[in-house]
Amino acid sequence: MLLLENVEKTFNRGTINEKKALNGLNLSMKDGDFVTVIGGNGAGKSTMLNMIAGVYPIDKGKVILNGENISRWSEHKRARFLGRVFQDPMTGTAADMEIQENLALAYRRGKRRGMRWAITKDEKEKYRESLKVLGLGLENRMTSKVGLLSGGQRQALTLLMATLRQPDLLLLDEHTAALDPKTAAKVLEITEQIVAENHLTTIMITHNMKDAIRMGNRLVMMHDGRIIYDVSGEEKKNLRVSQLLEKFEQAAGEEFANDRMMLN
Amino acid sequence: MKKAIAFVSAMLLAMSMTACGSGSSDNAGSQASTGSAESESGSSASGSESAGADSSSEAAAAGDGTVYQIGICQLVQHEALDAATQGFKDALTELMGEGNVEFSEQNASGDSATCATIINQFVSSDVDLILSNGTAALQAAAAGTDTIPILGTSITDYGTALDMSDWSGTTGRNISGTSDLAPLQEQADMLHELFPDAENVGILYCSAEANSAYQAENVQAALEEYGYSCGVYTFADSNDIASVVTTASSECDVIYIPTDNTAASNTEVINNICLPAGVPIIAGEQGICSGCGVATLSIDYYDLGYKTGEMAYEILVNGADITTMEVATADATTKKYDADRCAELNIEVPDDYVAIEEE
Amino acid sequence: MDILNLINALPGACAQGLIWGIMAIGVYITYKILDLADLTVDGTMATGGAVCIMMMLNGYSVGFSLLCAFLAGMLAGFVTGILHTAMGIPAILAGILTQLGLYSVNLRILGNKSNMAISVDNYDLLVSLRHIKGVPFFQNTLVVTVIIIAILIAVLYWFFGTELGCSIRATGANPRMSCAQGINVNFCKILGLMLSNGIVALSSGLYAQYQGFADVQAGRGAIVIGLAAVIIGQVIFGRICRNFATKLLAVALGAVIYYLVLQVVLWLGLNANDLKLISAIVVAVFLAVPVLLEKWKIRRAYSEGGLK
Repeated sequence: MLLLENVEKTFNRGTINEKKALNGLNLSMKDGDFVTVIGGNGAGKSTMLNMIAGVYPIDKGKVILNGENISRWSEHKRARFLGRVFQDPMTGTAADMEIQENLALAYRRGKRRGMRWAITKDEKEKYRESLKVLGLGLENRMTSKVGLLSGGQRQALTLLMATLRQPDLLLLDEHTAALDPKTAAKVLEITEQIVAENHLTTIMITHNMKDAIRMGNRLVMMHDGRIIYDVSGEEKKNLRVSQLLEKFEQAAGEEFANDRMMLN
Repeated sequence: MKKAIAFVSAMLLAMSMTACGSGSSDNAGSQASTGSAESESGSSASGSESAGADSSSEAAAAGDGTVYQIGICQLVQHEALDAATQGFKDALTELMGEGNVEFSEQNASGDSATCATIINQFVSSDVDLILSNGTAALQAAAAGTDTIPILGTSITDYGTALDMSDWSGTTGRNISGTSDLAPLQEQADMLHELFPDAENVGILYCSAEANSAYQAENVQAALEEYGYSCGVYTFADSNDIASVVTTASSECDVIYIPTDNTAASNTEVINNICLPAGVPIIAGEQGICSGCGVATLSIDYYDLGYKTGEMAYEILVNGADITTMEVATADATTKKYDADRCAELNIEVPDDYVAIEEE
Repeated sequence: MDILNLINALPGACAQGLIWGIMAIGVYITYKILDLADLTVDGTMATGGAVCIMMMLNGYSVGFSLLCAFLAGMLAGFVTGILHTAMGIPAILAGILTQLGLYSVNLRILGNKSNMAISVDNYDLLVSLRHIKGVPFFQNTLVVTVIIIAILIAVLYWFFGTELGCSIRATGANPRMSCAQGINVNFCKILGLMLSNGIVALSSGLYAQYQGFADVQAGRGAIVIGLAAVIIGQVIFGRICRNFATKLLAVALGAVIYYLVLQVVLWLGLNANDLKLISAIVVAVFLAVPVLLEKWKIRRAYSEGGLK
């Protein structure tokens, strides 16, 4: 379903800030896979998602989705296959627009946007039902501006928007990192629920090792722009945080100490 | 609450500015004059009708004691236009006597859109006569009223300015005035008199000025009759003037500059390029000539304004019909030259030329 | 200083304000909806008039001439849009470049003249300084402009309610999100710029008729008046006008208030040399008052004992 073949990306090439973000990255995912991604700062986790989404072009390699090479596709064109939730709750929604308008925008992902009315009556009913599922009471505030919502509410809404029209692949880029622990737990709960209900193929980046082990059917550890550890099935279920840390230490050596705080 | 305070503060601000600015139209006589002014303008605009029986008492009261309201709309702050306005005011004040005429003087600061605002003010105040100093000011006035008499000054070509295809010297409507059209044929004659052997003549002006383009077109025709080959050099604003002049001075033997406001403000730049290059300049008016030219046929804008003032007097007091009033031009022109520059460029000036006095 | 004079001058000021209000609505689309500062309008504000007047002088009808002015404005917006999106030039600079280039284009349109007159006596003008008083109701410039603004607001209300219009709003509100939702952000920016400049050119075409001439200098400083209208409208009517249509109305009224203040200033007999300074101060006051008021409220709300 998703195939990353020997993908390379270097930022600021030829300057003092040159940074090799992806270094021969290979990843193959099957339909229905739920992959959690961990790794230190600068390991290339977010860059990987951005390369799949087409935020910047890749230098080398291939991104293949559903058998089609989308390496040269523009970001908005790829959006038809992808649902995305970002780390910053501000990024995923338009603050100045109403909740229902945001949903209507998401509902037309991958569709032609013409001169038809942006929200129909039937849709509103559908949105109300979908919002009810979140259990945040947003179904009664459909005409409120999104800017009035809390960070957690916005992330939950973004998640709903990303999956309102079923994506082939859901990309979650540390989508709970900016939230307090209680809200983060709630958003993760909603995530699991939505992914399970729709059987979504998902990549989720997280800093939380426990979540990484607990959620999904496959775990990937990245370091220096490539995957250094890939585990799934029973083996993954039986993983311990201590084992992961060990793996990490082997790969990262010195740097590990700096990252330890992040990986509690 | 918030909005109210915002609005009130804007108003207060506007008023406080008046307090220190002190307008030119404040006058004790203004209150009394409005009523009589109305009847006066009514009679002068219609031309044939008398003041009418119902307003006769007012008209009688008017008599010599009438204070005429004159709206002056000037396009931009400029030496020549200022002189014309001053001449106009002096003429009317002299002819009517101090206190019998009152001027509301407004300047659009070069913003043609502001002219419409100013004219709107005059029309709604029902002034007795509008002086439009500058093309856009005249056009706004022409669009604003077809009853209040309008006199223009510092306008080169009334036909073009007023969108009249069959220009015959009179407008046939409530507009007349004076034209600052320099005698272009005579200027071409002058250029030929001083530089009979030149081959290439450059015509330099600002593309944003309608008057300049008109003069350039006509003077070019006259020059080409003499066998000169003419090149037109236009600049958009003072930023690109230097490079355009440099090109012109390298390609031409003589340069001609019409009465162009932008050129007039940039004579120093032009002089610094053309004098070292040894290219003499014939100018359309004295201001430009004393700044960078060698000779000019000059008209005096103060005289032009004064003449316009006399026309206003004819219309307001003697009941002349503005619709048949011919647009006037300056009476006398003088051949003038800049002594220093002529000496430096070794130009022999005939005896009938007058040296421009150093200021 | 007769107050009657001022009152008499008000309809004219309103008409002028309403025409500029159309222009301000154009500015609103880029400045508020797309969140771009588009300086192209200083050029377009001359282009529209130039196209409209030249077309009319060549015998075309008012309606068709205005339509062409609108299209010419859209073309200018398109150029800015391409410069900004495809060439990656910052929006402000792209606008300045187009505006600069438009000067020459406008001169060409005007047949290399800087100023072309059109007389209300010879042509059937839609609006004119002359048609403020003493003309039939339907010819009155005030009525005509009010109708045009009403139609314009209705059309824009509809357009920004459609899927396409909504995606333009989303582009301005959050480009990253829009892209993630499959909206072609660059296309939307270009479309918004085109629409905005088209409206500005339309206003320019009307204004040239109103004042009786098209001038190559006409657009100088237009953006300031446009922004002033947007800001004044927001400050004064922001509380009441929450709906999109009423927001646009507020912008148009903002322009009217701007010209009313200007007219009052003239009536007070101020030296017109100071007009530009006064314009700047009026805008600055409207920008500053809400901020200062907010600060003052916060200061007042504070007490050592906390809130009661």
